[in-house]
Amino acid sequence: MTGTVDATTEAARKAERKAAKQRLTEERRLRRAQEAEGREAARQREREAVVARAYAHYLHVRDWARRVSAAGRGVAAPLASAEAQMAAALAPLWNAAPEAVATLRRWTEPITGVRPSDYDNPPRDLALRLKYAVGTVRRHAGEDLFVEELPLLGGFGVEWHRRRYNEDTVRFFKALVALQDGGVLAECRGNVQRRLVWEIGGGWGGFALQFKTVCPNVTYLITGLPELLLVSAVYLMTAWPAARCRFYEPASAAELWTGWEELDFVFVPDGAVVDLDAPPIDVTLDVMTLQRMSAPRVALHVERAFDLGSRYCFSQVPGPCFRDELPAPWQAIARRYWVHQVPPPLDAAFFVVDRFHDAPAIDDYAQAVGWRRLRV
Amino acid sequence: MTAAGSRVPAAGASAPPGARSPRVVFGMAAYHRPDTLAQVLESLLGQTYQDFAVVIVDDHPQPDVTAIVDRYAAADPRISYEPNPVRLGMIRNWRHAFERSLAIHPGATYFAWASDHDFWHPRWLEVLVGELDRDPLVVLAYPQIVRIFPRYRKLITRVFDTADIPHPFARVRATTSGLITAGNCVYGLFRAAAIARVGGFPHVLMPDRLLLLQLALVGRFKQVPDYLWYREVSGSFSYSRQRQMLFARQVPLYTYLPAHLQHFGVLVWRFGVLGRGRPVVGRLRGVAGAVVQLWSSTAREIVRDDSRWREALRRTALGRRLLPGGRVARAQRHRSRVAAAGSR
Repeated sequence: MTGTVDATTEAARKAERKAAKQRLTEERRLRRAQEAEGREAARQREREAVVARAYAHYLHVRDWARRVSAAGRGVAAPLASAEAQMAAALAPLWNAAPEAVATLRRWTEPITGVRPSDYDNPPRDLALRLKYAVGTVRRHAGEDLFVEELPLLGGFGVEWHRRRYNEDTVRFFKALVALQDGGVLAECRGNVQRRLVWEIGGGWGGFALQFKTVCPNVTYLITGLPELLLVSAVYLMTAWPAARCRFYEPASAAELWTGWEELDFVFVPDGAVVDLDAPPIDVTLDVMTLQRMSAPRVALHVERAFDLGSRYCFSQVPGPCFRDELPAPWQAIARRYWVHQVPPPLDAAFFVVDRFHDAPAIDDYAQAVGWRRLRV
Repeated sequence: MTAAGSRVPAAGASAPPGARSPRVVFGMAAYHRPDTLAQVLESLLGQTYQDFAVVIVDDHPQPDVTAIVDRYAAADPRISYEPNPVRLGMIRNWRHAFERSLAIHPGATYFAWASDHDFWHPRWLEVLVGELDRDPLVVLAYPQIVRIFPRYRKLITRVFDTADIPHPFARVRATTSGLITAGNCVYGLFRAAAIARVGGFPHVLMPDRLLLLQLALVGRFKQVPDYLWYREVSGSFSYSRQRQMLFARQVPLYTYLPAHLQHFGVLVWRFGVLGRGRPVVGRLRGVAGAVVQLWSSTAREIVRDDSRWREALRRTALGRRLLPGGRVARAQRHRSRVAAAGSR
């Protein structure tokens, strides 16, 4: 009898313990779900704040871009057809809704040709190609020049080892490495003297973001079409809320460079390049911008870079490398700079001394650094 | 008289009294390259570090070269130009470039040989002067290089550095058997006093290698990781080509000895007999250094895949059976691998 009672009591205790354990598990699950919800809500609030900030920047930049366009400072010379097509494709951004600004990166296809939709479900060969490219360049140049695509404003890419990148990221990475191999980047990475860097065109702001991340001690001047600046300025100001930015104003152009060492970004419309009066420029950058331009526009930009004292002029154009004839933008650059093509990092096996007359076929990007000529 | 001619210092002349010597002198041993000379001069004159002079000694003076030099010398007083009355050959011209540079600018601390067909990055001098200023034990600093082939360019990622090797014999061993490419390093920035101490460019085959071996006994080498020198490739190495280039007239018979034996002889003579290394390296240590060089280089010659004895043996039927292929065979294997990969 006593034995039966003991067994019953034991069973009741067990059931009680089990129920308590279940209660605890349920409470823990609930708590975790609430925490996850809280985190998601915080992220959502943060996203909304970023979008709100981006939209505020957009309104500010759009007003400025309209103003300088109305003042006849939008474009320096007639656009080439490639530039005109790009500007036309970006035209809807003049009246963008907050939702469009929230996914600004998905509007940048006309600028670089990289399709965001390719990355919604990235095909295996695209992911492998990018991974191989990043791996090769990283092995050559190390880790510290690689800057991933930000998740900001609809940023997209394939993810590998918690790093997100796409074709733009890889191309910019290669440009940074070429600048390092071309002996230019070291000049901008020092912390002693503030450097002034001019990027022609500026794209959607992706290269500027990478460059400023690697070389914080530079003032970064971007000149370009108002449509392009509408994208790049909004993107960069949203990515770096604390960045000190200044915009060219036709009425007070003389004050643009007052205290320029304190600035992070300076935005100047294409039409003001002709009479741009800047402090001596250290490096001029062309990241696939000049190749879209007409010959007179290319010449105008190269001349201004030279006249403003730019010691180096970097240019990236589509491959192949080592062509028999210089690409058109480089021919213009060569009139003011000694053009030195930066060799791409190759596998050591490609180097065969006995066949040094044969150029290896590399259908990638061609990149060159121009050294300023003394006697033109 | 041409503009450059009017600025040629008289033989044996030095800087006028009271004139301040630049810290650095480039001694350019020129040999008729009017196609590249202007760009080379611009690459030198465009240096971000400006306290330097350029002394050009021309072993093949022609009006087209003189015209280019005149144009630049008229605008920049740092250039001196001296045509050689008779061809000296590369070794004597290199020695002449060093001697005239130091005669004209006796106060120069650093010296660099320059060619008339390679290019110096604008930051070359700034970076290398910084290295030599930073460490007085370093006698030679040089950067990574970009090689300019006829139709393409290549980054040379090879690294050789003795900056952390305190013992002179260990440095000689490293210089002998390490990955050094003397033809690249010899275009680095030297302490002028170190070159003068070891007796300058020697009259042997592979004189650049021997100069570096001598300097390895008295100091350290520092390589900076930036690509700051662009070297033109004009042909592959051969001893007969060296004899033709290095010596203007009669080729000395001793140059038919293996190069490392010639180097051993010069090291014993300069360090053991003349005591050139003193007080840094005494006579006995100098001889010991020469023995270390002979031992290391002989061992290297024995095992090196493209050494002379292997290449000679490979020309025989027995050698082809015994020795796997040399550089040419490796290149062929590589090409077939690339072709196979391409077809896949």
